[in-house]
Amino acid sequence: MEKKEIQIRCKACSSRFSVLPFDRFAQCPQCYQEWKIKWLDSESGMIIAPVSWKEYQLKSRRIVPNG
Amino acid sequence: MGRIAYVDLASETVRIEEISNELRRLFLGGRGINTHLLYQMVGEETDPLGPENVLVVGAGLLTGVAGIANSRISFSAKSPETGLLGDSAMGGFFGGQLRYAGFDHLVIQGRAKKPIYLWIHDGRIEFKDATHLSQLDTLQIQERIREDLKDPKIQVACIGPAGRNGVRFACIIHGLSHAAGRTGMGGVMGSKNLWAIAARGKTALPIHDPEKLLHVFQRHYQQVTRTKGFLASSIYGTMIRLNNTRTQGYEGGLNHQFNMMEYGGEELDAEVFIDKFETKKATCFGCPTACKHMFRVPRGIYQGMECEGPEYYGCGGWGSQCGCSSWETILEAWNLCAKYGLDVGSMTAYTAWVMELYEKGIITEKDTDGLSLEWGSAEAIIGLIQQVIEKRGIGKLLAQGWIEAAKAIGRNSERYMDHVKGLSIECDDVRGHRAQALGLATATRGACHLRSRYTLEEFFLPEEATKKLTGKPIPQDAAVYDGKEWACYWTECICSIADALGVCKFMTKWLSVGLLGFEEFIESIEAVTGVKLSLEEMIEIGERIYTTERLFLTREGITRKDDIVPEKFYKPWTHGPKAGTRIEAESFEKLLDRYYELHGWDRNGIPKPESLKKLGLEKEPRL
Repeated sequence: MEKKEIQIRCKACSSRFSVLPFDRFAQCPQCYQEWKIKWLDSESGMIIAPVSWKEYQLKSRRIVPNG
Repeated sequence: MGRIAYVDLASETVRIEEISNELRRLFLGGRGINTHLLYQMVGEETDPLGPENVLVVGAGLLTGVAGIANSRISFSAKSPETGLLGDSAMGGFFGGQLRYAGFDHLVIQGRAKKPIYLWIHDGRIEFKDATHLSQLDTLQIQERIREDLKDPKIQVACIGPAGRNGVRFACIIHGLSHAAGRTGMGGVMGSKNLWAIAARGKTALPIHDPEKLLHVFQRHYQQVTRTKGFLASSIYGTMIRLNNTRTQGYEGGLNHQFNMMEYGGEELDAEVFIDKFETKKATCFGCPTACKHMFRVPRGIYQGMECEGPEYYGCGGWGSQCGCSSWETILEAWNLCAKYGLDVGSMTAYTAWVMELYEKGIITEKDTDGLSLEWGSAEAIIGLIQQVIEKRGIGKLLAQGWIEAAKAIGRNSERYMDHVKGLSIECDDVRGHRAQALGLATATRGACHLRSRYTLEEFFLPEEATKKLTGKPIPQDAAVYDGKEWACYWTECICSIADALGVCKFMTKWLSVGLLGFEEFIESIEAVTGVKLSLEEMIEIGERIYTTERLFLTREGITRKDDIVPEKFYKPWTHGPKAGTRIEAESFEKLLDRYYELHGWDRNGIPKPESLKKLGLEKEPRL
């Protein structure tokens, strides 16, 4: 039987994308950020952290006027 | 239904009154009745640490009753930290025991001639000598009282060295780390020479329809345990916010100078804590979630240290806000605050504040008794806690609360403390969430996430969902200002009701849409009291509680000028997906106008006479 895809929301770009139940990793097709997924049950997946915190935190710096 | 005990510590006398049906109808219980009593009994002239201040202890209408997370008890007094409304609630098992012992509310007045504790059982209140408890920490006090009274099932709420030493942000502790933390209620208790309140009861609470209550309980249990919010809380507790705020760029960094740290995520991650330190879960009365973590440090200089916690505001407060990415340091700091009875919310904010003052050269090692306050320093984080307790170095000033400390330090040091109405803001940074920012600016005990933070703003709920949930559509986009006054108002009402009932907010729609809301509260109240309230009546009770608190603030001189967010929030976020986001002053002021109008307050934030009449508050003591 085919697994039902679940929608989750990317924490970087806020767009929704599909993942298969119990996949441990996923990449957002919109912004390409890679995430670790935590499955609470087969229908409740949530992003718990980026695959690499170091990379995510370093690239998060933006040039902000008056910032 | 239920009883209030008026306890005079100076004369060691007790007067008992029944709670009238009218008072229940107007305020329900817990924080609701506490606020009503406090507003009547203290005034603008009351010294928060003087014997004339009143400490009101109040269990919720449902506290100790079979149901989901009916564990909460509120402590209210004039705050020694802010000089304004003080109020803080805790979970655990103390609230239920107080009710089983025969009392719903305690109104504690005066000052005992010597250290005492209250022993409450079988409908009686005894005054017991507490001199032998004067050198003990909070955990030791609870154990000693159980030994003295020869009953291991006694539940105790107590203060530690911080409360006894007059620290203005001391908290009240029960169990390992259930805390009535914010606004310095432990300081008030200490000023009264009251070291602890012990309760043990065997009296069954009056339930109108036990069979219906059981049916309601079962249905609510099935409802909440299926939700994503419940499942996530049962694994991570509040610590899930550590990861969420960091990934989405709304964590406070280095005393809110940044909104996202550039390092430390690999270590300071909720999953890492669970893997390395968690030993098991713990819970409060009646709660299936078990969101509390028991932990043990397996190696290093704190090897073997065990406690319960930490909650998010400790992790983020000492973590990103103080630049520390060592779990061991955070866990030791948490453990010390629990044992000493210090409010973690204030201790973390004060630490971040003086670290920024040190960075800017406003204070030096001459002011800190030689302590170097570098960002992230374990010695600084632990050392400051010790200094506060021992009242030395900069800790001597901090023990007096940040307002007095800023006066003593001078050099515009107050500009670096991020606060609302004297209460320091917590570690997350809500400038990008307009309803949350409004809630922060207007919260009645000062900066607070547990009174008016519209948490659902972070979940991108479509308007049809928020209309179904709250009665009005709320824009999905967190950055939009329109309609957010209703989000804040609805949150105030559900939080006030949850506190008045004694239900943990983390099991309500404040946190997640599938959890308990007004409809579920109405069912529980009907089963317990036989009175069926309407949704409109519930909203009105929430509004009444909030407006009474606003009256308290108004009497103290609080107006629109105080309903503000910290200055840093008008500057843009520096990092993360929403970099550039800031509060726009003009839009925020318009939002504030709409919020006042919704409440029936004037443009200065003062409740109008006709609004008070509508709520039945026209007879409350005038301003």
